[in-house]
Amino acid sequence: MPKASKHEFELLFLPHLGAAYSLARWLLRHPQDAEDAVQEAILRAFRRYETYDGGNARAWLLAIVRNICLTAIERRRSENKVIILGDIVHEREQQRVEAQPDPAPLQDAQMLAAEDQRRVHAAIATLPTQFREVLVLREFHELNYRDIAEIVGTPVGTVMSRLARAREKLKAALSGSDLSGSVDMTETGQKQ
Amino acid sequence: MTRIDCSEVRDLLNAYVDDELSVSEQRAVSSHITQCGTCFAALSELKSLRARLRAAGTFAPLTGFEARVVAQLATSAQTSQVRRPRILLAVSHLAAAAIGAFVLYGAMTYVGTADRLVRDGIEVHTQAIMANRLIQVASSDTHAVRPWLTERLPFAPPVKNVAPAEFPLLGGRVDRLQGRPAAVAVYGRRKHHVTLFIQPVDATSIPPELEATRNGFALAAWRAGDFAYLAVSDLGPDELKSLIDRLK
Repeated sequence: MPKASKHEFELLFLPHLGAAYSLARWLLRHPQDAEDAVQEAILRAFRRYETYDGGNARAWLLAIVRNICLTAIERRRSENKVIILGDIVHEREQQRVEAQPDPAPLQDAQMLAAEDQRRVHAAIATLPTQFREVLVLREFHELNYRDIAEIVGTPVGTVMSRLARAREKLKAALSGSDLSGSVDMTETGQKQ
Repeated sequence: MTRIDCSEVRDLLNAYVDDELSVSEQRAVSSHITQCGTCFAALSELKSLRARLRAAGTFAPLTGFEARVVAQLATSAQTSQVRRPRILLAVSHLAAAAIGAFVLYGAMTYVGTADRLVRDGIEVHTQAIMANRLIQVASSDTHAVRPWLTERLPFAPPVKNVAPAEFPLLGGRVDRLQGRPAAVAVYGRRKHHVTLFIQPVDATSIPPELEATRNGFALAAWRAGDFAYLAVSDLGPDELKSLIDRLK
């Protein structure tokens, strides 16, 4: 591919690396796997750049990211590499590293915020994939229903009902963790 | 203004906070919640959940991520031309068993590439469906599809409509399979689609023969004349085979 179009590709798609990483990170629950998935997605997008029809670049890239992640999850499952418990524990440590690159001591308010972040993230992690992905795309990346529908390959109505259920489940998970101060660490990702 | 009851409002509340309602629905919900404490509380709950989520934020990539992506992109933009000659060079160094090495090289290349080809074939097929760009030229007339494809490709793909009743030809598009240009003919079967990639034998990574199923997709490859074919579908392998038998 000529240099000019590579430059154009970078201008279009690099701004969405953050969203791509975030989605991959929530789907794969592992920082390195997420980074690898995005790398692969960018290469794939680049190779297929000429088929890109000029629509929403972020949605196009995220659809590729999602596809790669689901394939990776499928592969993990078939190799019996189901990541239980340990991953969620690891995830907590990792969150601090990623969210707090500055290791200065936390003030009370910051500590509370960090504690709530931990709870919210743990609650999202308990959602089944199909609910987790729509919630993440809507709440963290503020995509509209139509773009989410395009990314996950379902009708808009399905996005709407999944979002509603995702929020109900999340509320339930959070009220449990708010009361007990601990979270359910069981892997529930495969249940519908 | 239409009046709506609590259960209707509850159904619309998520779309309301997401700003996805029509103006009239939006008005109806707004007016309802000013009068209904229960629905108002449900709305507040949704809003505070959102505030809590956004305060928590999502994961950010580790430092240097963008630089790593750019670096990888730069490398891969060159490797497509560089990689192959290097392998060939390495093989040619096994001069003592030149013929044997080449046979082995060929066999190994196919084993390795078949797996990638299966993945890529499924991926291109599903991506095209998801992105709603399965078909660029919609026609069951091979005399319309073929010239359209030929104009856009360095070869003239033989597109056939062999079983119009059972597997109607829906149209075609130009795509890439493993980085190489491919003509794609799309056939329908109930609500399923069959993607048929066509590449000239001298510019293809499609093996001479292949039958595979993966993740609920069936794939088959074959060659005829100057062309290599790869069919991908979510149909069962037997159903796909009945189309392929006719195409062959």
